[in-house]
Amino acid sequence: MPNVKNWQIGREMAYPYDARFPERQFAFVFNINRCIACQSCTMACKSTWTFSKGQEHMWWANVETKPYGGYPQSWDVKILKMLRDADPEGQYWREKLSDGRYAPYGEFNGKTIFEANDTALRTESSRVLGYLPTDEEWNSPNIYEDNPVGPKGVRNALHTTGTELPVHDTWFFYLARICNHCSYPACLAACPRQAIYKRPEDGIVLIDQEQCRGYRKCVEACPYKKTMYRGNTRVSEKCIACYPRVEGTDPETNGQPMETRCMTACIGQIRMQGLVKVDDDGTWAEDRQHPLYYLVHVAQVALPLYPQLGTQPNGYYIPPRWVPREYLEQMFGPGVERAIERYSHPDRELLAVLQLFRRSNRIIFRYEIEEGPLVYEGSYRGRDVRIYNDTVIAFGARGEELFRTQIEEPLHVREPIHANSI
Amino acid sequence: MPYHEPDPSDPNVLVGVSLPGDEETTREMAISFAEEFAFLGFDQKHLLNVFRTPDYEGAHRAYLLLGEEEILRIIGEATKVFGRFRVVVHDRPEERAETLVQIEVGESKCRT
Repeated sequence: MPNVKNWQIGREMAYPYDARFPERQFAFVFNINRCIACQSCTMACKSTWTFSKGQEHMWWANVETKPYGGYPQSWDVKILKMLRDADPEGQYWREKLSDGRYAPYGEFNGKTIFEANDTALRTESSRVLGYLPTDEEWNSPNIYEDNPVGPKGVRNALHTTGTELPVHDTWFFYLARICNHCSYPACLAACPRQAIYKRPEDGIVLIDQEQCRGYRKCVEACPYKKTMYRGNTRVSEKCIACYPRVEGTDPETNGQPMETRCMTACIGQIRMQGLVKVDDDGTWAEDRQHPLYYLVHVAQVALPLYPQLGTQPNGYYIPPRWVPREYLEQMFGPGVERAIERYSHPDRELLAVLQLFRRSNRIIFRYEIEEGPLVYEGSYRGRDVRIYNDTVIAFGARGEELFRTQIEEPLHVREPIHANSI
Repeated sequence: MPYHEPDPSDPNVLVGVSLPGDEETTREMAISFAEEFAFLGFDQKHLLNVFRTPDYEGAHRAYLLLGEEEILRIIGEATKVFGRFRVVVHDRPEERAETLVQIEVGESKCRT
């Protein structure tokens, strides 16, 4: 098996194919601190792509309640357990955080899903450690989670006291997920027919529906379980990253790259999606004024989801501040404490870049900040806070300005009836 | 929230595992929501509504556990700093597509 360089785990690893990287890579950042699980993204995707017969169980975009929820159920617990069984002592990081583009979270000592396959008890034909979820695990995406339901047999009614469950002192958060369009896709590696490919222009991973014969090796291999089998067509399907929008060929885009349906539907404004430049070795090319590059490599507040699995996923998350660090480190790697510290006390530039989230449906390729005056100075929870009226300007694919944001202090005008009431 | 009581013979039934948190964890979550939504332009009244509404389980559970007084204090603290401004967005005017085609509606000229 060839060796490829994985910058997220800070070392080379085995992968069934030689490394090939796209010119730009589809990537996204989700800010978990803002997600309230309204499921607008889920429904936007569902109503666009998976509303047909045979797709009832498919949710290319979903939001699950962590730690106990999952779609399919327990997907992450199961693959982590399989990895631990394959390498009982070794699944840990040699923690040495850095600011570099390669190995920013240190080096992962353990085995990835491509490497653990050698030691696990597997059939010879399987190239990736994985499992096939059962129908029961697929069929109820939010079962036992905290979604409100109505009384049995009554249509269009919700229980008004949705939280009358036993209140327990615990913690939870909402994890929004789509396909990570990985740089080393496990689905692609596992497909015996080479029906899955990664597009050279934007790194979007697609299944060629004519080549697919529905062996479900991709469903078994994808550790994030984002490829799904469709029974009535007998082929597999997956998130297509709304590629007509990303390309700018969808009529709504007016010819300009536009973010996906799930991104644009996000009312909590937790999402930003873009196309990042990739170097020859698969690391992100330096692009200082790209908002995603800034969040992942400069501010380092956005972290990959389960980087230790080895697929080099292109979905990044700003971790929730209130969750125990051990859990978050398992999920996002050793960069968690640094990310939360910087996010909780954002500097001037981070505060400005966070204003770019969901101000436009166009894909942002570059931003600039025009510095403005100090408008507030005070303390907040024991720390000094300074807020500047900076103008953040976003630019599109052709270098054209998309929009600019500023802050302003609302002006309250006294009604005429009270004009002289002092 | 399931419709029925859990059935222990169902292999798919939820197996609860305690993941202890404490009041501080809940408070930190409430502070995060208050800050984030103050940033988004929610005022005190709207923010309090998020916490009061049972459908928003995370925020509402914090409301139940910490009490309205504490939630009001958290909201007040966050909005005092982050809620005093609102973000103004100036969009660039939309371009017209170059390939727009005008479809004329008129009488059919088909002959039989």
